Amino acid sequence: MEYYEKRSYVSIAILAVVYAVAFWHVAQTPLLWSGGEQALAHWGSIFLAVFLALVILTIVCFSILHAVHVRKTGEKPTRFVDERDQTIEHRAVTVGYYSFVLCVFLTITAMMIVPNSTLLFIGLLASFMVTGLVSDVMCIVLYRKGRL
Amino acid sequence: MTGQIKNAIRQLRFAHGEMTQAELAEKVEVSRQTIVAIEKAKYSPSLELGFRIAAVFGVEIGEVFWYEYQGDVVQKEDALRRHCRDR
Repeated sequence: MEYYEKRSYVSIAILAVVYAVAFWHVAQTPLLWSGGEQALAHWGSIFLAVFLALVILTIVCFSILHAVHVRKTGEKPTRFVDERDQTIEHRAVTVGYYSFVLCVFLTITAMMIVPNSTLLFIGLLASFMVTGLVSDVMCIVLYRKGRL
Repeated sequence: MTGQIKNAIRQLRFAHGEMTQAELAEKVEVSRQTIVAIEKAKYSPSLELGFRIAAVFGVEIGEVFWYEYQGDVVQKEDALRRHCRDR
């Protein structure tokens, strides 16, 4: 398995853990469903916490993966990123972008039907999650499929 | 007009002291998987990488990579068949 493919699996695991905790917290906090000013502030802190958790976990896990990969294969770090990896990443990010646009569009459409701020924030949180997952899955598919 | 980029990397590797994919990858500074993908014609390399690969084997880029116009060949064959039938 290629380094970037492994990285995509790790990224999916990070996303799954962070967003599972976030959605579990949302479900367990009645304040978030009230829609008041306090709820808005709490939503802000949730988004910030999710962002920080993703950044920190990504740095830590990728560093560990990098160290393990170097020890196992003996490949130098500069050899990891070549033009094919970049092409795959570019395509995966593009697909992720379109899925983000679609998710936001669906969230806004849902807001027109059910005008509720909680729904908006859940939709946004889910949009970020889906974008990350789609990008990583796309990366894996492109590495497995081979043809670009 | 459709077609595909073909290559002779595998033959050139064997002609150059049975060079491994890993060795070639090391020389042109890409991953071994990228060389595998190029050999199988699953990935078309950039011009720069194409020139680097050709330089490793000491040949012109046209001897390593070439383009086969599949559609064009079929069209030509169809045209030839039609021409023979009409006559």
